[in-house]
Amino acid sequence: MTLVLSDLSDLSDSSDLLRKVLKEQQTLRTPVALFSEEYDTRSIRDRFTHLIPLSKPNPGEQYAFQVNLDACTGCKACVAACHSLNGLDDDEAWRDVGLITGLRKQQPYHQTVTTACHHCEDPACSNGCPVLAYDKDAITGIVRHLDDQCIGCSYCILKCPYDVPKFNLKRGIVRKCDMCQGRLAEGEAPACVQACPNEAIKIQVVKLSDVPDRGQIIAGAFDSSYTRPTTTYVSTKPIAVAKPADAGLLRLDHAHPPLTWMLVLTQMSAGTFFVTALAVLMGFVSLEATRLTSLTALIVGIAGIALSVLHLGQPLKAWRAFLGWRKSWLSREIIAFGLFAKLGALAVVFPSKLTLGLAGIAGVLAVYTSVMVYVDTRRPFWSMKLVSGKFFGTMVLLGVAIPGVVWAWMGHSAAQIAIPTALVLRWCVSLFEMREIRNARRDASSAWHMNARVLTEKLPHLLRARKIMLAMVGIILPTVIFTQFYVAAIFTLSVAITLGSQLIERHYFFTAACGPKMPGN
Amino acid sequence: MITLPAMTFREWNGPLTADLVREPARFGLGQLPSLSVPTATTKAVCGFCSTGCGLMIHLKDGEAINLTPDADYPVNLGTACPKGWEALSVLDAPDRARMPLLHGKEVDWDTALRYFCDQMRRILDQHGPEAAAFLSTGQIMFEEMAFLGALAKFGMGMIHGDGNTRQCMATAVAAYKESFGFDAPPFTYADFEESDVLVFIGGNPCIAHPIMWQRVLKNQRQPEIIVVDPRTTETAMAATQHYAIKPKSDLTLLYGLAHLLIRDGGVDRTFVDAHTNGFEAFESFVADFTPERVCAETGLSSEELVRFADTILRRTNFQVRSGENELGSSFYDKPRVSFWWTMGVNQGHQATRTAQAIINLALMTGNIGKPGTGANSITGQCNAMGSRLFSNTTNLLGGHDFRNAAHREKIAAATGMPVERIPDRPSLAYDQIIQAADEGTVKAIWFVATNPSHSWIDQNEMNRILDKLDFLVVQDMYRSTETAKRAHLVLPAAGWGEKEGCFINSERRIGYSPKVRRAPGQALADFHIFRLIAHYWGCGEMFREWQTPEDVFRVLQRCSEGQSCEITGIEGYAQLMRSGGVQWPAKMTNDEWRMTNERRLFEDGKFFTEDQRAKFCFDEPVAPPEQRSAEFPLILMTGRGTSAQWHTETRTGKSAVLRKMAPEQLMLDLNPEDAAKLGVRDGQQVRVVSKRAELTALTRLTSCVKPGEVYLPMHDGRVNQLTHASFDPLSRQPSYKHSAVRVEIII
Repeated sequence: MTLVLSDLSDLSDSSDLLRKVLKEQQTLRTPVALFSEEYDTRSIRDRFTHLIPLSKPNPGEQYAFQVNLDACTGCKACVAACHSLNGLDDDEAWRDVGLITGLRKQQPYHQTVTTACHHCEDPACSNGCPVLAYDKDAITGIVRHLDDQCIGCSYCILKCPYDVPKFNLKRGIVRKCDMCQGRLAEGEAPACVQACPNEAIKIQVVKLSDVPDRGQIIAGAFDSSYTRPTTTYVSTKPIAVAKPADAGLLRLDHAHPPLTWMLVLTQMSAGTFFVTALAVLMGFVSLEATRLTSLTALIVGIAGIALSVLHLGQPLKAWRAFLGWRKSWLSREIIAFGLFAKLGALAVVFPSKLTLGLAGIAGVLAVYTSVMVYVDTRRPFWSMKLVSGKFFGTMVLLGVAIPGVVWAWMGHSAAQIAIPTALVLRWCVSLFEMREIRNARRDASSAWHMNARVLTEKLPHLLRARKIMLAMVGIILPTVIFTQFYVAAIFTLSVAITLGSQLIERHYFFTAACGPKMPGN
Repeated sequence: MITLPAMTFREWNGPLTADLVREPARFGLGQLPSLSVPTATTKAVCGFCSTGCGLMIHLKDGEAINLTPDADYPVNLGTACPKGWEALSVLDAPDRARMPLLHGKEVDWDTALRYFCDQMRRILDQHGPEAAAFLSTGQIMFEEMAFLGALAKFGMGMIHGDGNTRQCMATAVAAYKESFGFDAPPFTYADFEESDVLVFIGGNPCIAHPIMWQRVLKNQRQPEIIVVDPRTTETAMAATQHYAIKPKSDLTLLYGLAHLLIRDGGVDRTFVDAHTNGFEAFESFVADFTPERVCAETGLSSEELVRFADTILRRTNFQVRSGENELGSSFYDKPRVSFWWTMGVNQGHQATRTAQAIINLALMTGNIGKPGTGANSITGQCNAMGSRLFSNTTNLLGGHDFRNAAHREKIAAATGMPVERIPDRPSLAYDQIIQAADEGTVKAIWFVATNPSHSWIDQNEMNRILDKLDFLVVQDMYRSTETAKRAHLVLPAAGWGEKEGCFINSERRIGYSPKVRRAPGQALADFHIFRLIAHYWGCGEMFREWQTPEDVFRVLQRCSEGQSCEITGIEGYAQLMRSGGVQWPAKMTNDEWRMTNERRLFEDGKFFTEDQRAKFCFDEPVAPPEQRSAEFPLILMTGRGTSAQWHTETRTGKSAVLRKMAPEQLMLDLNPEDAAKLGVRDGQQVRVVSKRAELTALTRLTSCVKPGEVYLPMHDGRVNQLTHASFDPLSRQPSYKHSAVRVEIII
């Protein structure tokens, strides 16, 4: 359309007016409220004294949130106020509001649930932290996060069954609710308490002996035996059969790619040392034949460990990772792999039955700490059976495969044992996992039924890819190898595919983990 | 950002910890983050909903950096809902309109304004004054609305203009006008605290008006709270009695209650005789609404119905005993009953009569004009009331009548406009303007601060018609709204906080909101845009006096003189800011209003009709136009999703924190029985199909919706593709709450 503009010669003052108006728009002459001095005398402190304790907890007591569900009607002002009064980043808030809803015909039930950190008596976040970046205050019991101590490993996020600590990408650390302890110390109410129009949130002093060590604090919450959360939800209404409103949603969790690689490569490395040591001790191969396998294992192991550093938001602070060894399996894993790498290097430089054996044992122990890192989160998908099956399975499978490749290229006879063993292990590991997924998928009462649904409904392409890989590695390539045709090259290809397959498995090990959390929307 | 470690084992403090350090702020604010401690504060009224909360704006160098709810404001007493808390952050969106857009390309204001005037003038000249219309909003200040209405009608010569208040409040307007003689919500928020029985009909204030719910919970009289809603909402859960009637059977229920109240001696004969007209006719009309009939049509049991009526009658839930009736109402302490309604009533196919059925209950039981009583419409938008009184659309400024020559003379005198510029007929209603656009008689529409491409009922039809227009102008804060994307010309507007003016809230309280932020780019206050258009149109002289919003406020004060909504007594913006707002009426000639900050209407029993009597209005209920069928066996209801969402989310969608508070995907509330029949699981993706369109959503199984009914939040841009367009014949308000759909599994 062509622009036909009217003759504005009679509007010669238009540009003047425009200029004036544009200038006026950018001018702030904000009228400042009168009587601001008066406000100073009527502090926010006085308005909420009935919602916070008047005295510090005695020994055997701590501060805790109490939520009156009857008064929580879902306005979510607590979330906005937490964000705003604490100067948090754009989408950051340490409080959240979810919903639980009834399914019974005669009992329609709809309850919004405000939730923040439960300042647990036995905080899993703190127990898991490798650098002691959590501090449970000896008097108030507030679980505080030390932002400058944090290395951004995110393990507390995996450990907390209520999805409380949140990773702050901009800062490379985790941040969380501190119950506005600075406000409480001055007799001011926390932001969420101040903001609730219905006074549904209170800070109370609870006796530690009264903190429940079983059951759920609310429908859909994780079993309290794990961390002993101190938040109490009270209501005068009869308890209805209800589920979180988002219970049926299939979510994908964070993939943690550096951890995916780290786990598979370190397990490959540990397995290679272990199998090599075993082969030497059993007399299948000479020490000479281990030089290359050990070196490969060492390189792979160091690569895995190095990759894991990419996972950290504050890698320069990671030197403190040993601090948490008393409680944290992650701290122990870091120590164990540090030791393993050193013993592995020793075995490469001074190959002997002793050094190889030590490296092999250190490797198995290190993988065990990896298993425990995940088992300790108590997620059903990361049960001892599943995780150890996957991790140790990967370890021995790739641990046999790598020497197999090396020896095949060297033309060493041990390859003739390693290759079929790898093949059998490949089937075992895959069939174990496929059976577990199928069972969990069929059994709605299985603890990881939802994980199996996420796998089959949200990630079917990954399962399909792994099946194709299994068919190639488990059927086609062995057939070729059986014909003695390019054995070394074909087996190498087969191992590469297996490695890829395990990386895919490790990807959904994280994304299909369905981390527990409080009810959502 | 990677920080270097300190050479200690544990770093208790450091730069990352410092990010969150709080320190005592002044102004009674308590501790605030050190990074955002204000140097001064000012006050504003929130610009989202009609609750009209007061906010303390934290200033640094004169510019707003944060806000907290105002503890001294009589409305919200120091709290706000999340939208209020986030009112400033939605101003910083990347999709703010910064320059005028002509056919999607940025142009300067001069070009945009010339183009606007050329096109409008061409269309008006060629096709007459009915060929161009404006459709405005309840979201801008009423001084701006008045400017728009006066400019478009008196200055540019348009006849037709309406507002999006047609979608929310038109019913209450029509009902009050006919029943009370003026569009006059009678209540003050203190009534929430003063009631013995609160009856909420078609409303979910817990999430739609959470700060009003705060006032309900402040009630110390241990009130009975009754909720009438087909769904078990947050409010239904918080109530003492919930009546989950069949969708759109509210009118029958209300007549049935009247029937029982008459039968059981609940009529306040003294009040009815002295202050109302038409009760006898009403009494004989409701004789047909026997409990049997009402129970059959609403789905309630007779015990429920009796309990409901009995609670209105005597608060507690006694069994009705024979022989008690003839003792009359003086036998027991008469409870203070207040009735509150919202969109479930207003957005119905017989909405006005339904609202009046509520008014009738209040009138016949004498529950009006006293503390804790009233037939009370809770409005929607921050300035719905301002729009109703001062937008110059269907009413002439100040609640006057275009058809009345004396009114035209009065307004001409008050505004200084030549009387012949004032049209002698009211505007078409919103839907009629759209229909006229479809028929080709309306060729240009100027939308201000509203997004009908998303919000209008049967949306695809609306968009088909919008695309036929010769000239579509959108004046909005954001260039990304569904309507702005279709516009030929987008005029970039400053938002709340970037301009000053007044809002009128649900309880008739006029509150002031200052300019505390700079608008992005060359976005201009709507007020400035209207000034510029007046100038470019060549009618700037007519608006010589209209230089600032406060100038227009003065003009409107003059317009209100002698009206029920008279505001001549208000001194100006300074007083509004100082006093915590002023409710209308506030007459210069009468000082009583200065005594208290919570005032209700009709305390003297005198209504705004000619004979000062309220009128009983009623009609036979008819079935909703779209019924269930074998093909579409479910009734779809739509409404608010969460407290963090506002209308089409052009603003609330810009706050990351507010976005977090709502489900990421569209959730369809579905009863487990229906789900079992369909073979649908919780959280499964399904297709929702109506005669008009289909969409996909995830199921959320809950027995809070009944079998045969489903619910979708209106904020998703697709939901109104499904809705069936029907309108209340009296208020022309669309009926969003009753469409037939089916749910299909996606294979």
